[in-house]
Amino acid sequence: MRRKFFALALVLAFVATACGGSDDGGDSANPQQAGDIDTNATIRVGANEDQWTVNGTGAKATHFMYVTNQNVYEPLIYLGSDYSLKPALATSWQLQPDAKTWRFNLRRGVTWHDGTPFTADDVVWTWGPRQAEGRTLSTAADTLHPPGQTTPNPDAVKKVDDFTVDFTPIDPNMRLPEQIVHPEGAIVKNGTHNDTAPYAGTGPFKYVSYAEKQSAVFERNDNYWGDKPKVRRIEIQFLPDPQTRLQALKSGQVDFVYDLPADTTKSLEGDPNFKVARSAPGRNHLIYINLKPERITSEKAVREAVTYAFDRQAYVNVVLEGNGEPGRWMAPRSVLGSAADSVAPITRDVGRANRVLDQAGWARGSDGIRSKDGRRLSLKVLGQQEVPESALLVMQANLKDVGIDAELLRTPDVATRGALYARGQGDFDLDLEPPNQNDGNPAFLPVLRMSQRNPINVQFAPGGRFEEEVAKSIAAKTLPEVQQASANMMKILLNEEYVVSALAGAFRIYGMAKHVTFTDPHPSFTNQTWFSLAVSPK
Amino acid sequence: MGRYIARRLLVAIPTLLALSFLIFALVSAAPGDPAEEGARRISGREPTDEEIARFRDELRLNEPFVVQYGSWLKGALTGDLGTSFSSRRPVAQIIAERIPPTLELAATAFTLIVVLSLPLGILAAVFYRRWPDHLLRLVALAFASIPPFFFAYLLIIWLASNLRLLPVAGRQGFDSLIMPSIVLAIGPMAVISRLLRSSLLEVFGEDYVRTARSKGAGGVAVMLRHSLRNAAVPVVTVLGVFVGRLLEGVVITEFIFAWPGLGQLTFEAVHQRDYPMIQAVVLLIGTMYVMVNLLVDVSYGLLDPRIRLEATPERV
Repeated sequence: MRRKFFALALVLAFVATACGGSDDGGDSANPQQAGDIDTNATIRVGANEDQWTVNGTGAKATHFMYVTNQNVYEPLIYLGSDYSLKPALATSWQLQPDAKTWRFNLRRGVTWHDGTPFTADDVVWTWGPRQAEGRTLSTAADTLHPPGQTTPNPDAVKKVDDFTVDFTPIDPNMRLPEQIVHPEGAIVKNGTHNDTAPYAGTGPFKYVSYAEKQSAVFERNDNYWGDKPKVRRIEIQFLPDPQTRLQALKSGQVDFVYDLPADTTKSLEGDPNFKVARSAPGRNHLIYINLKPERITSEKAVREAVTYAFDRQAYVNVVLEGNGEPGRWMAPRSVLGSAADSVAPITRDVGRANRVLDQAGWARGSDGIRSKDGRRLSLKVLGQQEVPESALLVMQANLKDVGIDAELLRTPDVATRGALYARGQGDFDLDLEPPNQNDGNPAFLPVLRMSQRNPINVQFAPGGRFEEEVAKSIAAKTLPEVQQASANMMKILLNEEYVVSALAGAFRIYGMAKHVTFTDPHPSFTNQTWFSLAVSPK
Repeated sequence: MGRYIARRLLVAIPTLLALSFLIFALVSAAPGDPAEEGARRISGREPTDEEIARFRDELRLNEPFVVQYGSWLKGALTGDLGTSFSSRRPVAQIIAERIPPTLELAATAFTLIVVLSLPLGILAAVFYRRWPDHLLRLVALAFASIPPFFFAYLLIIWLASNLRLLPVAGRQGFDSLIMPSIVLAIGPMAVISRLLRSSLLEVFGEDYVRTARSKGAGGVAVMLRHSLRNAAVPVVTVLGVFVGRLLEGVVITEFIFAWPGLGQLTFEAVHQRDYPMIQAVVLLIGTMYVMVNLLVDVSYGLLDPRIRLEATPERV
């Protein structure tokens, strides 16, 4: 008995229960100021993956440009959360009499974080020789420097004086200001890159420290040219798993998280200790329909039936858990301005879908699936990796209601999708994608994905009047003109030729502790700034 | 003993060569075009046909498969594992940065496995068919059955979110090491404690144990000097297998706990189709697995002299 007791004691001695004290990861500094906000506060942010290494080094790096971003480096023009253009390092811009050159007047009195003055030389470096690294920065850069070439165009960007710069695209580009907002075009100091110390930008936050894949810390730039941020310090923790991010917020390890999955909002909103902020719809879930002659979807009746089969409200309810709106456009409404009203909404109409297919000779079989001339109405649906499984299942169910069979091909990563997509030559009929609108050009997405000007668009390009509107959008001198041309393009794609179906516009979701306020969530996540982030005294 | 070790080392070399060939072949055969993927990563947009062709030349993908494998192997042997598609930095440099966190995690998990399995296995054997044995069997079954990722979320919700005893994720001191180590250790600990129990029960029935007891040896002496060492041989084998599985298990665990080690690197590399990185990481993990098994083989000789003697051919 004694021996067994000793054995038990020996065993228990080996069992170590380590309970460390919790580390609340730093605390907001004791509030130094009374009032609504604590301007001396530190806010801990739970971010998703650390993206700087995703795109490369040197000019290719997006270090401090994505997500953690743009609060260290700034572009010439900011894209507001309403998709309007806001002067940043450029105070104004004009198209010159040659109808090709854009003149940017730069802000005076701006200094880099190391105290040296910002001048035109920095802009010329960012948009000129820096391109020699072999990477082009956004669609604006593609119009300045020949894509795919390592030698930059020497005439693309020229200094007029210390605070004036001329941008001359290879061909006239009326959309240059709307495109130049992209954070990959943020200005870096002459002779430097944004992936090497000391990471001196002009932005409202200064670099403090960075540990790859772990954390990044920034402090308020008290010499910032504009309105100062409301927090003193941001400590970012990279937490790639969305559930881990959510739990980090709930445990108090962080105060603010972004890019939360749609299914997490209910648990946060039900808890009085937390709040949820949502942006306007910025990410549109779109279906692109393959027009190639050998596909079943080359038949307009099939495309029309597909378009009217989808239950957009159900998609929002089930797939987005209510965090979105039924789709209507290919871009956020605010990008299109008043022209958005000319694109008609489409709601599910099973009767119309069935009628159209009946009239086209697609008869139902005993299993409910239609066929014609021995050909079964079966479509291959490609789902991009960022859309959840439920999206494809909802689509499949909707299509079955009108007698269309859907084979789902969900791709787990970019490479698998690339292999199936085969640069537009792949074996698919419908392609579900959730693109973002990351610049102020309303024509960006329709031109990029549906115009014959892009050779890989052969499967989606309707041609004809659509290309006429593309030409109008490119030549348009004013924003209302390009908005109208873009809306006309979308009318053709969504309402007339049924090449695109807009399923939903998704909100960006941010979670935060109750003492945090955040009033300006941006629909374009790459353009998110942290000016409105504030902390109340606890 | 020296000859025993030398023989094992000789066997390891062709094993590693075969492993390297298999890894290279499998990654090369994966769906997708490495040249297109690499060109896409570099340009950050849909690459042109010229860019893809240029990148294909740069990667030497137009050469015969055997030539490609030879070049890659030569580079691997000299420490040149290529350049990451994602970050455009040397793969070897990135891996070197990520090894210490994974070693830290794996070593802690391994320690937990040994430290917990031994006493639990002994306890179960000593209290054979009594309530501690039954309880430990149920606990072991539960821990062996729970998927690690699910257990990770349970721990996070319980210990971090609800009780706020530990940080949720990130590599920030000893506290942050506890949960991921437990997640990695729990399954192997359950299996090894059960295996040790069975092995001990078998040894308890041996003549030499009965002899030791009849000569007046105490329970602790019987356990430590006569039983454990003989019961350890099968346990050591399984421990070796589990060390390899630890290295697999870190992939999901490090992702969930945002631990910046090899596991997270592997996850990112696969997700981003960073072919050079995938090849290098899998080769490294495979090599570590082979080395661990080599150590296990060597340890047999230390634990059981009969194995050493049987390995030596008799001279006539």
